[in-house]
Amino acid sequence: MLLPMIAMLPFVSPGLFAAGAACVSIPIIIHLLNRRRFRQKPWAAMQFLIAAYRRNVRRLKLQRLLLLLLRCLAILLIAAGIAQFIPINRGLAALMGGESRLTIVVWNNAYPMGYVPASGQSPFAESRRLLANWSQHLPGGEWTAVIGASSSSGPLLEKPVPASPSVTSLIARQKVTEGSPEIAAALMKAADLAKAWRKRVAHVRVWLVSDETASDFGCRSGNNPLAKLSGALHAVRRAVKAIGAAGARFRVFDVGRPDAANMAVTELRFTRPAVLIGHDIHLRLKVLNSGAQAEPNVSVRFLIDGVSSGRQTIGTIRPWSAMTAQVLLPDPIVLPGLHEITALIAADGLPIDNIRQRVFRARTALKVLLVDGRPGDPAQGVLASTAWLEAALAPADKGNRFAPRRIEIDELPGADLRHYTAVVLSDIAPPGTADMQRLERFVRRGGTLMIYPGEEADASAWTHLGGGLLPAAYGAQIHTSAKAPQTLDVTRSAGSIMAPFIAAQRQGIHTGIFHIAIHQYVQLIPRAHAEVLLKMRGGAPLLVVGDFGRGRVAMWGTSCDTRWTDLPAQPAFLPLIYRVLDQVLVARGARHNLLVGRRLVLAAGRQTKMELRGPGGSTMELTEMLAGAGKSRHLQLSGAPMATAGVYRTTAGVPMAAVNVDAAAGSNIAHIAARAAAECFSIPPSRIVTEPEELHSSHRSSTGPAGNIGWLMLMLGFLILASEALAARAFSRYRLSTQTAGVQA
Amino acid sequence: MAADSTSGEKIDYRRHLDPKVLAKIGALDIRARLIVEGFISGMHRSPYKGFSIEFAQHRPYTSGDDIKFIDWKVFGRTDRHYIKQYEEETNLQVMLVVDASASMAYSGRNNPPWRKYDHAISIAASIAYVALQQRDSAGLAVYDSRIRRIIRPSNNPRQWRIMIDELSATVGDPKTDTGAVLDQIAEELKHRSLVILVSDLFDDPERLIKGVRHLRYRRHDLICLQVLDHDELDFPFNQTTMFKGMEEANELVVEPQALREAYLKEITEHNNRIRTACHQLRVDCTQIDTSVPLDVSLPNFLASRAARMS
Repeated sequence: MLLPMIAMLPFVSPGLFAAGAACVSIPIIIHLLNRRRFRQKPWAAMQFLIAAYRRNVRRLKLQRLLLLLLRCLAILLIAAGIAQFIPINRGLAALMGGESRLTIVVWNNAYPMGYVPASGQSPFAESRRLLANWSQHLPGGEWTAVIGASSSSGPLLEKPVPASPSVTSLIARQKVTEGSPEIAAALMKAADLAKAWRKRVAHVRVWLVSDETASDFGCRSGNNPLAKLSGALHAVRRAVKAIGAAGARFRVFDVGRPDAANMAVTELRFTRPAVLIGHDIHLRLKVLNSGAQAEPNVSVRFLIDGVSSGRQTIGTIRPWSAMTAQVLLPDPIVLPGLHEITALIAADGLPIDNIRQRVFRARTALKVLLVDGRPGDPAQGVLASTAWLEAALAPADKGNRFAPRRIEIDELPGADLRHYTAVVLSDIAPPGTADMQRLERFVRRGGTLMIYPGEEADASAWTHLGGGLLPAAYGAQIHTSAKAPQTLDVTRSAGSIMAPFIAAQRQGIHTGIFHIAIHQYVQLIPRAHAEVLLKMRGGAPLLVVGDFGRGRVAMWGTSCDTRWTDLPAQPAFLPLIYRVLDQVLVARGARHNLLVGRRLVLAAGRQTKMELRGPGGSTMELTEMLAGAGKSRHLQLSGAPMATAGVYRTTAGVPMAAVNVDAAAGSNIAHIAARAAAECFSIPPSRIVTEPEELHSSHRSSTGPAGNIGWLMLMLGFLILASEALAARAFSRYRLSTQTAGVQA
Repeated sequence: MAADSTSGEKIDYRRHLDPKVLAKIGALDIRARLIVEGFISGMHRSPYKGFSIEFAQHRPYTSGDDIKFIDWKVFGRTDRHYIKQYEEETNLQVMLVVDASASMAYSGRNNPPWRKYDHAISIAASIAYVALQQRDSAGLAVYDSRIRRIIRPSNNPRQWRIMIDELSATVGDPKTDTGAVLDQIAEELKHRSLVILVSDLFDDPERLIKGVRHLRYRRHDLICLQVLDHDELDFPFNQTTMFKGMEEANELVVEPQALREAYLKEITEHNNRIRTACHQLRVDCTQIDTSVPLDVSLPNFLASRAARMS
């Protein structure tokens, strides 16, 4: 706590000053001791002594105080002189015959800077050498701040300190982080700092020391950030503009490698909401080729729980582009619970993004609770409203992904919703307040609620009750004519659902998707942020989905059975329901997978503390804490932001979290040439320094900063010390040989 | 130089008059004789001439008389040798008033300690010895806040021994009231006397001067011998010190160097005030530094007094 404060002092050697300042206490202690330590003397001429004292007591006290102050001031000045004080005040600096200057170094210490080329050292090592060398030769009067430009940057010198060996030492100790580059945010910090210090120093300059890659400007593939202006590039430009507005001079020192090339796994995700035992794992994989050469036959190796589970060649990836591949790993999981999966490509100069890992929970099946408002009468051959859906989710053949259970509305209060992945409410009136709160809680915790209208459902009551839970409001109930029923608009519905149907149609396979007749439906009026997955002709929404808490709510515009539509009777029904559920169901396990720099948050169970072991033997402790507010207050386990990529396991070896570098944001290390970079920053090309060695000599090139005034303070200190001695002598006037109290003639 | 009666060797008495040496001599009578013999031998002239104040008569010169006392004017007129005789030879009363208050117990940085009181009683004893030697009457009053003991003037041969015993035995009260004591002495003395006050005069100057005035009003002659330690005159301390009053229960912690100038100013003003008053009342007032040997300070005073008298 104290050391950083000392480091902030405006001295070349703040530690020396702190030690010297501590010495100020010496005269005070001596003064106090002297008041307690004295010899005793019987004295006859006491009346004269007391009279003299009474007449001079105020003067004596003042003299004592003055002498004490002079001693303290002398020590303080000598300490300041030895520690080489640097004037923090612009006026003071000018008075001392110079001008102070602040250099804010925005140092890209994100993981792409750790790229090691075939020959030479990484841009980070190079920048570290240059910055250490530069700081070592800084003259007095220079203030320095170093801001890390990484999403996982540790504390650097975010508050300016005077040039000193400790700054050099701090720079030399830095290591590249595993965070992704956040240039815009770091530059904005620099702009704020420049603005704050503009009046305190004569000159402020901001230097960006970076490898100048496409990722720095938010370009995730390709080698030209200007081809498609990203939000990140605009943010960078705004920050540079802010730096200029703060009166600071901005320069970029490019330590990047024009020949840099990198392969990275930028995405690894499950395409289905859950991994089920006995079922194949469906993955989507994205591999980036950030290099000038095409990468032929890129092969990805997969490991599940550390055991090789297959290899897939995804083909040739063109230069500066990414390739997405669908991967199927056949039936690899045999036990429920948490597992880890790793996708791995061949190592290159930046190995940290050649691997991507995920932790997932394997389950036996996805349990779906069907709550039927109109159960039907099997004896009379009247089907329940959810009968079609139940049949679709649990077909007679093997390997059901879903485990549906049908109950009546009266049974809803007794059902334990925690066991279900989804709850389907079909043709029911709005449940009571208690049930509604349970449903809300269920969705908030990650469940999926699907609501079908019907004869029994009171649309207006639903809308009134649903509040923020429902993604849409119910409108009017529409009856279409038998001759011209409403139909599904395949082309205007979500491509992720419709794609296989369209493909099948093109292949001449009849799915009936284009011939669905909807005789009756309720108008859906989507709320803000809701997503319309299926639309009817004319654009009327048929299926609206919205997020609520960590879960999701889907509202259909038509019934679940054949009363309002013939959809259940169409061949497309079953695949459509599956596609919709894959879209609507929430993939669990998102909290187990995070990026470097984020905080791991797990639901608190019986444990109030959890220790995880990370890569390289590191440990991470999660502790219980209260989160949220109001109704959403809950206990959770949380720890420090993750700084290292890898899988974190419990002491029992169970994988609890997979931490990956944000490869999508950082792995495109295509080097941006100076002219293009200047355009990206909206600055003249001359401000881009491509010969970073210039950094070493730059402290000599600008207007002369104030030399530190240490020598002046040293002299002043000694002068005051001499004055103190003279004053002490003058005050005592101890001249034994020249004055006695004899009777004057 | 004086001859030692037992060994016949010459003894340098002055060597023993340094206060440091005198302090080693316990017996006051020996000390007083040593002083008297010392300064007589040092001056080569009679010290008690200084007490001679009035001419009495002539007597014929006899063998053994000092020829310098021959009255040559009478010889010129009568062609006979006559010797001048003075009144003191017959009936001078000397009253020694010695301050024995606590402030007189102060001793400076001497080793062994030599108090102001030691110095004062040495002076008193010496003067008494000289007076009695020439057949004058000598008396003693020892006081602090009041007169503790008074010995009426007498020229009895045992008088000196009585005075010595009294001076050696007296232990003083903390307080001083010299003015009141002088008033009392003035009332006590029936004959015109020479009063010799030996004190540090650390007292209220107004009361002191009043007492002196009273004495003078009674036509007594007065000599003030202010005995001060060298420390009191110079204040040569340099460490933080707690000064504790010897006459009053007060104390003061000060850095002496810082207060020295003011202290010296105070004590000088006090001394000057008394001296000025004494001068106006035709009283001899002399400051005696205890660090100065008595064979220097006493003869100096006596010589200067003799010069004034003549």
